[in-house]
Amino acid sequence: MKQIVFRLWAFIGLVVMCAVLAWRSEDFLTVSNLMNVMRQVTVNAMLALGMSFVIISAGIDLSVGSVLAFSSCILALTLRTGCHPVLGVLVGLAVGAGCGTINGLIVTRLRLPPFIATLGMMSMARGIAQVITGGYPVHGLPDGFRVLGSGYLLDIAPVTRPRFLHLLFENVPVPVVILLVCAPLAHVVLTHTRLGRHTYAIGGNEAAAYLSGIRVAAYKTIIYTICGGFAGLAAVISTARVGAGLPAAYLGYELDAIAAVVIGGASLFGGEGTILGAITGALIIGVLKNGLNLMQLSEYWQTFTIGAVIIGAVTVERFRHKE
Amino acid sequence: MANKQDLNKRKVGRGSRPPSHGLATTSVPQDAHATSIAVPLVRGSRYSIPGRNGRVQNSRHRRWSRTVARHFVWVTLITSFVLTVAAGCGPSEEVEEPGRPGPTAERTIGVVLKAIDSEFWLAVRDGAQKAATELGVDVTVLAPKSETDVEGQLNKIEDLIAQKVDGLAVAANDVESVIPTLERAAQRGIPFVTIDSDANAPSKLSFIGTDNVYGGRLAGEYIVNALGGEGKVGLITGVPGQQSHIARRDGFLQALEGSNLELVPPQPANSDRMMALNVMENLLESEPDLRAVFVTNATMSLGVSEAVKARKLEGEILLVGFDTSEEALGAVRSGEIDALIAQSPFNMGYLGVKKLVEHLDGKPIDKRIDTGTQVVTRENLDEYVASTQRSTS
Repeated sequence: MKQIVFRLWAFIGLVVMCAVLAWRSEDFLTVSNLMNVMRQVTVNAMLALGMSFVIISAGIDLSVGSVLAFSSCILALTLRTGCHPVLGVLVGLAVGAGCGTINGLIVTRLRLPPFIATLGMMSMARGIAQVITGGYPVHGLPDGFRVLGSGYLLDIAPVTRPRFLHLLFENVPVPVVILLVCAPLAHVVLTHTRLGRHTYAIGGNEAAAYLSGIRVAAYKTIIYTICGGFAGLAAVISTARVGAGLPAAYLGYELDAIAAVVIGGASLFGGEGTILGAITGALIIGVLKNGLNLMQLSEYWQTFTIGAVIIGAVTVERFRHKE
Repeated sequence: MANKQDLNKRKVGRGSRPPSHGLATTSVPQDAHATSIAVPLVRGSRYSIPGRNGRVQNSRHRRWSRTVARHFVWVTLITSFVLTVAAGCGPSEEVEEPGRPGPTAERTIGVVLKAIDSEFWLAVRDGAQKAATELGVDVTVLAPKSETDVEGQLNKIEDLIAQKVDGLAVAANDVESVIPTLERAAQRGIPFVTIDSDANAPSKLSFIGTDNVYGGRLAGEYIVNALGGEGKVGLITGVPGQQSHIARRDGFLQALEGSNLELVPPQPANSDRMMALNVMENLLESEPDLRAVFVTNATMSLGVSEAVKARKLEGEILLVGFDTSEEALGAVRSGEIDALIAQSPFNMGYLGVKKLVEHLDGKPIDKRIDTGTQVVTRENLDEYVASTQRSTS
């Protein structure tokens, strides 16, 4: 029983926050606002999904924000050539995953610490994004593609017959649907496949994992590729929402993703963490930002609050590992 | 990490190990290793929350300290949240309670800035708040992390729409991306104006801001006159694609036409002081006979003046910036910056809110409202400072 309560602490925190917000602001607990929050959360949640894999394996990926910007630019440039949106999406995903693979190879082949390797990639991806676009935002994307970011489920699945389904589809943003597909998938991969178990094993004790026959280098490369792939997916959603490839944007997004994963109970020392936790962490950050906006709080207080939450989470981290 | 000696064992281990049963068939002989393997593998494979159930046999004391530790994060989270909410609600409640009876007191105008990291945006905020106090409305001023954060800004606008504000004044970070979101506001019956940077949205009531083309032309004319129409001129701009910076550049280029001034390739410095310093240093390196430079905002002009100072070229290079800040005006006084094209951010905030309220009262408002520009040099500096203090006090 106690164990269950512990597990649900993150969720309870979220629920309490929502309750306080619903009490303080009459605009919070409306369908349109809740869907609004969910849509805003998706990009960070996507990054957090990938980041979970990396952090559980005792790594870190500081490049996701820049990789997001880079793949959004490539994606936008590809779509501008008039190709089919599906091809554009695949290109965006491939660019993200490719950057992740390079991260993984730098970590495993050049044996650089993940912090340094991804710090380098952070700068490289940003630089390339600015080179290929000349620093300018890439506008003029087709409307069909923008549905992925700013549309509702009804736009891609026009259901009219059962009334409740119509209402539901009318209000659920497409990015949220994508997240609802990806998160359980990531959860299953992490808990029920060899890849997932090896991720925990590498994070728990890399030397032991290696000695027990796990191909640590290969799995690490896969893990960073997954993280990059999710950054590519985040790029697809965000580019569709904003309607432009933005070489200078997405600064500091990696920190929000790391914060979400850590708040969700993952350990930066590796071996611990769950997808559910990461999603809860992302939701907490998103609800916090939305709520503070609704409360008419200034940007300064928002920055402060999110910082306080992260410090709290990392403090727990230290307590746990002191034992 | 494993060394070369372990290589053989690794191969054996890999080959003989059936999938997903790594623990059972581990072929490494050392006991120490075998036990340390057990922890991570058990964590990952058998329990959905690894590491927690894995240590159930710990002493009661340890469990208790872990309980405290786990509570701590959520206690911190909730406390900090409640504190901030309380901090934010205190004053606004006082305003709201007595204000309920009047119809105008319930009006809230949302103002979304590009960022809130410079004196310029603080002045816009002050202007908006001044108008709010004068007209008896509430004003919510929000801004994303930085001027490059397009998505963050859309989030802020959406949150204000969800809050059902009565009007929106927006300075868009990306003038095209913001259009669908602004149109959604209009669909929900929320009128909006753009301030500082114009977005080409069909339902826009008005654009309230500097005539940047005119301001850029003023800068160009100043440089043409000061140099007597000869020499090399540099141009340093903001984040590429930002409409106000493009307009300033265009005006500047118009003024240079017909003169013998030679423009070296324009460079962006993303409205960042450090970046401007670096860009200027490189420019001085590559163009040693540079005579003048036009910088499209105040923050960057300070970085540029530092680069000029570091090279001991003060007085050699004519430096014209756009927009003012206390520090930049100080640099004009000390001669480090020769001229600033002053705009009135205060007016943008002030008129932004005021015109929205006028619209809500049913009065017609102009499609384009110029907030004014003027050239500030050492000669008219005191006069200028006096005039801005009048408008803020």
